[in-house]
Amino acid sequence: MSGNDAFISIENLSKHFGPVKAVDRVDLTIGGGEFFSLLGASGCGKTTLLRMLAGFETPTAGEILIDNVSMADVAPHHRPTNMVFQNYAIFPHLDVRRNIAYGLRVQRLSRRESDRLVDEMLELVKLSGFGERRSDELSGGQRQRVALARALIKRPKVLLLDEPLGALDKKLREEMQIELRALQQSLGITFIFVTHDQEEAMTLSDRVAVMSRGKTLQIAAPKEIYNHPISIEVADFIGQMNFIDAAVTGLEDGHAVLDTACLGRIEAPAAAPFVREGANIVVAIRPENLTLSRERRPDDRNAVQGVIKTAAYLGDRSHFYVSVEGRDKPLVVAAQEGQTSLGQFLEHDTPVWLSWPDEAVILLEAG
Amino acid sequence: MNDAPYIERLNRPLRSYAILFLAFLYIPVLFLPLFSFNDSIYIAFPFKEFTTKWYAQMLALEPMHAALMNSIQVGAATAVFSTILGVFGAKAVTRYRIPGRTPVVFTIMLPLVIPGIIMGVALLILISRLGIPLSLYTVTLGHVLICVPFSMATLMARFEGFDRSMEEAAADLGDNAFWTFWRVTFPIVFPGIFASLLLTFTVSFDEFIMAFFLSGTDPTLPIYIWSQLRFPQKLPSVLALSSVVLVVSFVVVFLSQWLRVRGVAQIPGEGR
Amino acid sequence: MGDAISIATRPEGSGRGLRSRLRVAFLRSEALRGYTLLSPTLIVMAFAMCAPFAILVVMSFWTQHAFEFDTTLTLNNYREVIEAPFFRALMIRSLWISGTCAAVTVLVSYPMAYYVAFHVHRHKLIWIILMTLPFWTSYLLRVFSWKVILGYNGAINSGLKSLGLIEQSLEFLLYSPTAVVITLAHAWAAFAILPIYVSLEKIDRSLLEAAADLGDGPVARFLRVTLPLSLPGVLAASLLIFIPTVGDYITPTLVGGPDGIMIANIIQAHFGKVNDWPMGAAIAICMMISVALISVVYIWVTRKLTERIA
Repeated sequence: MSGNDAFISIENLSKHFGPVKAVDRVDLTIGGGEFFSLLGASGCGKTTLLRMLAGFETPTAGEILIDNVSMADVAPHHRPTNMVFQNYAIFPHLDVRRNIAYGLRVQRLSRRESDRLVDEMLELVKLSGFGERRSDELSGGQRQRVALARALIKRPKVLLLDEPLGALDKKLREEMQIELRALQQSLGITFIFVTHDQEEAMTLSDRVAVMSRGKTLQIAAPKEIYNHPISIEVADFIGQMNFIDAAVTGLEDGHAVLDTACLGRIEAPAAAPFVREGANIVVAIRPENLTLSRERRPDDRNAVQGVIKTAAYLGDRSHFYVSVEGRDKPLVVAAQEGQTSLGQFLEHDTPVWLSWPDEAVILLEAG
Repeated sequence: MNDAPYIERLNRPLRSYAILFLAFLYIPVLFLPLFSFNDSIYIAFPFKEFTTKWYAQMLALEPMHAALMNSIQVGAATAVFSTILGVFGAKAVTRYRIPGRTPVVFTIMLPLVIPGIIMGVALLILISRLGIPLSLYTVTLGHVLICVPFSMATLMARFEGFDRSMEEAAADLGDNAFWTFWRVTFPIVFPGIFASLLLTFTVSFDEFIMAFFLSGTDPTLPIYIWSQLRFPQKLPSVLALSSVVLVVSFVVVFLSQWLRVRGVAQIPGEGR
Repeated sequence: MGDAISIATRPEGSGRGLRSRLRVAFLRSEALRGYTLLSPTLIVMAFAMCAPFAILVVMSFWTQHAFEFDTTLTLNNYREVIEAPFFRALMIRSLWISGTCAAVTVLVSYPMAYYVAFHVHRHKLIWIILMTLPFWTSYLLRVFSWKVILGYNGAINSGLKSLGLIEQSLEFLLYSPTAVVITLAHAWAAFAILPIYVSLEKIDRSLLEAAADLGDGPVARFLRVTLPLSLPGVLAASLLIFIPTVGDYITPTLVGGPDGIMIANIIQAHFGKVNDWPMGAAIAICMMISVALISVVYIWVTRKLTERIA
């Protein structure tokens, strides 16, 4: 967490639409100057949460505090937040300059002053010279920048972005991601970014809140979420994951001995309360932490035999689907090009050895 | 009202205004049925006794029957012809890329905006120069003219809302133009056709000004009502007649609008 | 033998000449097929609207003597219309009444359309039908009901009298230009509301949210976003009322009285008692031209204004 702590404080926030709980008792704090993402599939409540921050939906219960001021009876036009809408919401009856200058009206600036600010913004979003154009003369990416400029010109304390890159093609999206991150860091404003694209969230954010069915599943830095997901749902949502059933046969000093369905007997550090002797849990391993070899290597502490069923060549890496005894679904192994001499492995039904380091094992509560 | 988003939250003064507006829109018309039950030939407060004798009197009037029949005949003929023309027109304009589409549609819609007296008078001149006598046929012609725009508007919405690919599928499966129309297009468009028939019938039934200029010796019902307006004794039975006409046309038009919009939502692949 | 083969291998249709070539062209040209389908409608419209207009124009240059028409073209009728102060005054009054009616109706209908577009979430269809329904019913009867209400012994006067609020009937209610404006406004409100409603409904709600987000309160949002974007609908509605009401005949006859007659009454008289058809035609054409001119100016002015605001 960077900057001041608890700049935005969301306490026990809920929003119900009739019987549907769009947002269910969310607790969240966001620091000043942080790039914070709300990540989840459609319908998880992330957009509703964002709209409550902006003031467009009234919470059913709970509190929102921005800079220690309660937003309970503050209308949207008085909040210190500004929003970049998913469809950009560019005013069709105004040109780009007037769109960007729209929010300056309340400040009653002189014509010269507001022109200066607009020029500044146009340059910031690299749209200098586009000032006289209208909405229907702009491409999607250009409209997005106008929406950004329009919001930023007011120097909000918090910028809310509702899936701003969703409508752009992949290449443009990646370019804009880099620009957005750079912009945020140079301006030092808190960005709250809603997306369903986990790669996007992981790339851009200081911290991510993974949401599902109105609740937050895990709130942490991207690296933490990736390597130490706290539940099967989170683990499954981010990246690819192998899940293996296991039973705890022994527990001693924070160290557990597990009997797994297909990886044999393994040991792993275990501090979580759900790891009790006799309990059934789930072991999770990332595909890139599994290594393939022809023979069992003497240094490998953990290894198991398997047979390659299918291989998918993805250019810079390959995915191998390895079937092992004790398990119906094959395990997924991701190998970087050059890591293994793939030539030897491209035949079906090749017997192989899978190995992994101790630290790669993640213990999760059974679902 | 916590559920509605901020932008669309409840606005009490505006709601009161809306209700007042509707009241103001409907109440004046409700005076007619109100006084048709009043036992007095003067339309004034205070209310005297309640009676249905004016209705009985109205039902007995021979000329009224004749005028009613005339209106029904003209209305039915107008409905059929203008709907047929509307179907052709709507299909042509929505299904084919024709050059000059906008001017053509604009021209067909013109009768909606041109004052009735102009069209009545112009048509009267043409007909009399051609030596055609004025009759219910000439009235029907005038009514078809003003009803075609209504029919086209109703049907254009219908045709536009339904996916071309269904007709293409029918053709692909072996139907020629006629069968495609009969087995695919017609059933789907039918609610619109029905709505158009109802609407054009009602418009024709209630229409006064063109009928006034174009009719011969046989009056339509509105013309009959107009002629009775100068006789105070006849006034209450005119009220009774008007009330019946109003109620019937309200119901019929409500039905036609309901059908028109409801059917569109049911077309597969069509939103809103 | 060679000929037989060459005939057998000739492409289909090319040997049958003009008829089949036309057929091919017909099937290929979408425009042609479209217009063929459109033709019955166009023919009827041409016969019932275009031809009559043409002859209306022609007749306006003729003169009538009793039941005979003198078909030598002359501008006499037009001269009389333009020079006689009577026609001009009546024309101005008609335009004035219609203009006022259009303004009043739009002003009164706008909030209603706004309410249904923005604040009705359930049963929207019923609201829409209810607010437009009256227009489809008998115009004559709706005007007549106002005669009943505004009359000397009508509903308002007798009601107020029986309540003891007035002793003498309010005479200005009926048979005046005011009565005409009120009646017309009431009669056309249900028609005008539709274009206004449609243009309001089309406004993207997220534009209003964006405006709020950028600092505008409800009034500013309305003035800066909603109103400009709904102007096309307002423009359409005002024209849709203005143009037909200028030539209205029923309303001035029933509720206008001598002070409230409009140009349509004069036109009708010329085709009736006065029996001077060419004159009637000339007046009608002058009326149409005035309306058309004013409409064009109005459209041009509003376009200029909206460009300035936006």
